[in-house]
Amino acid sequence: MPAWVGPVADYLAGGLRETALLALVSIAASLLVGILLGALLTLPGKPVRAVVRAYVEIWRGLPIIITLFLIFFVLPIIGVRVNTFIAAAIGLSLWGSANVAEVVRGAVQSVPRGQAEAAAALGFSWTGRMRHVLLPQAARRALPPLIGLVVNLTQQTSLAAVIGLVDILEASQRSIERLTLSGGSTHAVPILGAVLAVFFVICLPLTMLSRWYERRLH
Amino acid sequence: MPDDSGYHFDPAIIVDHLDDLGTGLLRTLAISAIGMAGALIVGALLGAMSTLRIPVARQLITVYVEVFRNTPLLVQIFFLYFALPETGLQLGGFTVGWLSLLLWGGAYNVENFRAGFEAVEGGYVEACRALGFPRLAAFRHVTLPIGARIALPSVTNILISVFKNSSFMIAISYPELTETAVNIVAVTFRVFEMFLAIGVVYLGLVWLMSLGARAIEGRFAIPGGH
Amino acid sequence: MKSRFGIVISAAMVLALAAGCSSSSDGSSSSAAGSGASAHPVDVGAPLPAEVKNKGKLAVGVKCDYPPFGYIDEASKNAGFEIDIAHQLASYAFGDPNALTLTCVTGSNRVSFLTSKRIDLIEATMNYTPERAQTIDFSTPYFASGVKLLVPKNSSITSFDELAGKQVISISGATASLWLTQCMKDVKQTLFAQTSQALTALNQNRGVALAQDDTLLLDLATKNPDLKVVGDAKADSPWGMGVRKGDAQMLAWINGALAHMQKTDFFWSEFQKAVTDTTAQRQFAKYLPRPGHNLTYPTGATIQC
Repeated sequence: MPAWVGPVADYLAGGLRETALLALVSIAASLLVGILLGALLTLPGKPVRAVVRAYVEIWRGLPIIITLFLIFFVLPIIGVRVNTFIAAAIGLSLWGSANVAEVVRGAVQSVPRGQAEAAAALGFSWTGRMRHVLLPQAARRALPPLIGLVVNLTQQTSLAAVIGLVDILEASQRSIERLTLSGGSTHAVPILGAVLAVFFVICLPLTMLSRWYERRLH
Repeated sequence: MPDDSGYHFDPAIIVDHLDDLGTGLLRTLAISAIGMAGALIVGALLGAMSTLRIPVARQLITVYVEVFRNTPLLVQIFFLYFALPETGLQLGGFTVGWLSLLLWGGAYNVENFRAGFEAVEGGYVEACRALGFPRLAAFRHVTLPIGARIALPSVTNILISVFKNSSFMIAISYPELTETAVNIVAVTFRVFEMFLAIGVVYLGLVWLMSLGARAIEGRFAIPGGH
Repeated sequence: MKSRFGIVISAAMVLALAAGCSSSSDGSSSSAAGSGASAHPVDVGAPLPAEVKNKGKLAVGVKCDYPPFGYIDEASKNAGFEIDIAHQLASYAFGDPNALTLTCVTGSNRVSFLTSKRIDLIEATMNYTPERAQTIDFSTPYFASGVKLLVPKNSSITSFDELAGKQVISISGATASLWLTQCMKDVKQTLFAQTSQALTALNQNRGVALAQDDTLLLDLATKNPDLKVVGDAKADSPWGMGVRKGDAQMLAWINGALAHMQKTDFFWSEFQKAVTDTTAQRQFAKYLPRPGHNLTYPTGATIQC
């Protein structure tokens, strides 16, 4: 094995740990906040829905890179300063939760109306209807797109490189930087190829899981 | 006591650089438009070929789709611009811009269209075949029109994502809107004005596109649902 | 179904535990200890600001793509002339050369990092310009550079005038880019964030030349025999460290520290370690503060066409 591979592989492994940690934190936060917001979007009351709708439209509408720049460079102006990892986690979670909310709303609203009406007729309150009738059925429908979002979020963690987080992409960039500037060849093909392969290996099983589950649904 | 960062909000900086920002926006729209159109056509075409189960093509399409859906767009962009030249193929910033968006959006759309085509009630196609239509004609007259309409919401969703993802081109320093803003900040240090301004622009355009998408979906909706 | 998901969730949790065992990085890496540490802080004639003292570490923004001044070495650590200076500053401040947090910054984001208080000091190959001095305060100078061009060995370009109307590669926010924007408006600039991207672009003929500091270009040309440095130096200006505007205490401390380093001829001894080629040493000797040899900032505009 050529001499340059060892140090690069080590550095990439460190970056992969950051990627994994960031992905897990963002996924967890997105799911928790997103499911709550998605449920709120199905509430009858207009004011709550309007606020949540605004949140969803803003964080889904902004490119994640802009969100990251806003959190990292602009928030400190009003005194809110968070480190790179937390900034990345917040940015990704804002986007993730907004998308999860949409998926959950769509799933709940795709449950045939008759179900909700029958439950109401039987005397269930709104929370009761959600908990015992709507959410369990909605959960099944929401699962394939949610798994897709999880895969997406895992990939979007690579954006944290734009604010300097040393995830696997930034680690690969710095390695290529070091190799290029020391006069050798850039080795960009094997290094970036390895990064692509790592993501592929992580995401493909999840994608196939989503596909398999979707088939089970129908 | 001096204020926290000594930041003095100065909206005039946006006016000063309106020229550059405008050019950046045009580039964003250009690569997005080509990327979106391409992703739509590629998705529909390859989705159809996949649904029709054309032998070798189906496997190749699956490989393409899975590679581009299971790897990050940002890494794909880096690879196309910085790594590909090592294999002999060198692409310019603009080309990588629309090509990467096309390949990414196309992969997702293949799945979206395929799901739409496969969601068409089997009964319709069977009836069509029973009337003597050959397979391809049945697809063209039944599966395609109905399936495309079913796929429409997820397809427009991806196309709007393609537009937002044009901002990823800062990776290759292609001077679309976000990169232009970053370069202006590099010289003027005005992070607030710049990122707020382009944030508003992106939100506005996404909102317009969403309105357009809803309108198109409404216009083509299948009466009574599918 | 439930058991399969159980497997997925457990796997995710195991991964989380494994990932959680690593320390979370905030984009910075500290480098190994420099030369022998004095156990006590050094009095440089001004007190260290209380805020910095309480942090216990000096937060410095440095270049990670500018050899031999600031770069990442094979052990994935920050290294270079400026990093050595940073360790010395930490020794003066806390008596420990490793009381240091190094953050990689680029020409385009170094000021944003400083103004958002993510770093307390910019030590990132930053030329003094009156425009930059409106947003940050510069320390006394500690080096200098001018802008030159890196071109392929067989290129016919020998001066800046021949760039008219052509594609030129540079770095976002760098003095080279500022000079081109102001003085050669017909040049089409392709700006990158990192040196290696710019160098790769030059090798791929995405531009006719790479415009950057002569100090960096000399290093690149030494390591890339098919490239050469041409042109007379534009926008010559000394480098200064940057502190937040109005942060008078920090400014006084840094200037005191730099004066102390000059007195002990620290710059010259460190420079010789970073740049081993004796011709290059002679060429840049006049840009180093030494006992009896001060650097001063020019008055008026530094970017003159």
